[in-house]
Amino acid sequence: MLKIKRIAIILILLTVTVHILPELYFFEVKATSQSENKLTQDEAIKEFMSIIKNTVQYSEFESKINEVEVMEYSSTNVGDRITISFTTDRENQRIIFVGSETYEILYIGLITDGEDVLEVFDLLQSKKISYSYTSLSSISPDPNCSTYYCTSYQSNYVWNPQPACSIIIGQGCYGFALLPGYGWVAYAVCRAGVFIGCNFYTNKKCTTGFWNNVCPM
Amino acid sequence: MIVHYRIKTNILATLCGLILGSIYLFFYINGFFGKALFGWTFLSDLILVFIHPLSLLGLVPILILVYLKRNKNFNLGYQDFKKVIKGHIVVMVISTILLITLFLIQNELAFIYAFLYFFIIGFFSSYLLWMQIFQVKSEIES
Repeated sequence: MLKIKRIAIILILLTVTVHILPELYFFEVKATSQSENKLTQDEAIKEFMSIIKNTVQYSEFESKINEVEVMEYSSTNVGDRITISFTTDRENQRIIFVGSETYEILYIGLITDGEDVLEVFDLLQSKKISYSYTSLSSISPDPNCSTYYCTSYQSNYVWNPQPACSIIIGQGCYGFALLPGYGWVAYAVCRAGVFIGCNFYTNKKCTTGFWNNVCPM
Repeated sequence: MIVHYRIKTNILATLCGLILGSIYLFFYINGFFGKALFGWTFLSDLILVFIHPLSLLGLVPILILVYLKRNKNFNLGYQDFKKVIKGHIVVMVISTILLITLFLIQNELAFIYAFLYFFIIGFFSSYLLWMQIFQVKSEIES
């Protein structure tokens, strides 16, 4: 029993060193490189969120809203745009709010992923548009529009060697080398695990989406 | 109780683990489990991490510390064979459960960590064999 406990503790420590620490490293690197810009973007998103919460449409769906799905601040050729998307209690349904840099609400849409069609209900103009999935890719954008709204993403892993991360985070593995008996193998597994954790990052790939009449979304 | 040469046992068990891991990598890189995310540079990059001066700088003092602590018995391993078998089975079972869980959550990542899984299986299963091959019979008799 004691042995199982010891093995469990070692495996937990391995998991923490291998998986969580590299994530923190990437967070740190990302945060340092974009800190100034991100701070203002975060503030803008926060401000827009408070405006959204005062809208009639939000109040109408408030009881059905589950969680925030996307919070995005993007710069486009016609100014900055803030997009906040929420999932609802209905499966495959989300509600999105698009605002300008001055927090003006440009678009509120209720999107439902049907079996064959994607239903988009414009809550500001009370207009419903259905897109068949096959036609989504062939819809041409408005000449003034340059952005595409993604309704579903697929996460995939990308190989991106980060030698500094593997070496620096891997320093935490030395403790395993001191373990009696199998210290060496625990150290090797920890190092290799950190190496894997550091060299891969998740990349979101858009799988379904649509061009909208709001330019851009 | 089995007394064996620890260094030889560990080196050969590690080699067995690496061979099994490399066999898995061969299948993975050649696309048997879907699109491979990396090539053979994976192994060379991994080796570079182990032999990087910064890694060695920290490891060497630890090895000296372990050597001094164990002193004369550094190379001699005293283990209860039955307990070793039990311990190794536990490690292999837990590793299998972890890999299956990871596969169910994110299979793409599971195929990458499977290299480590096969290394662990190769190491721990062959360790028992090398332990018996490199046991110090004269020590037991005395």
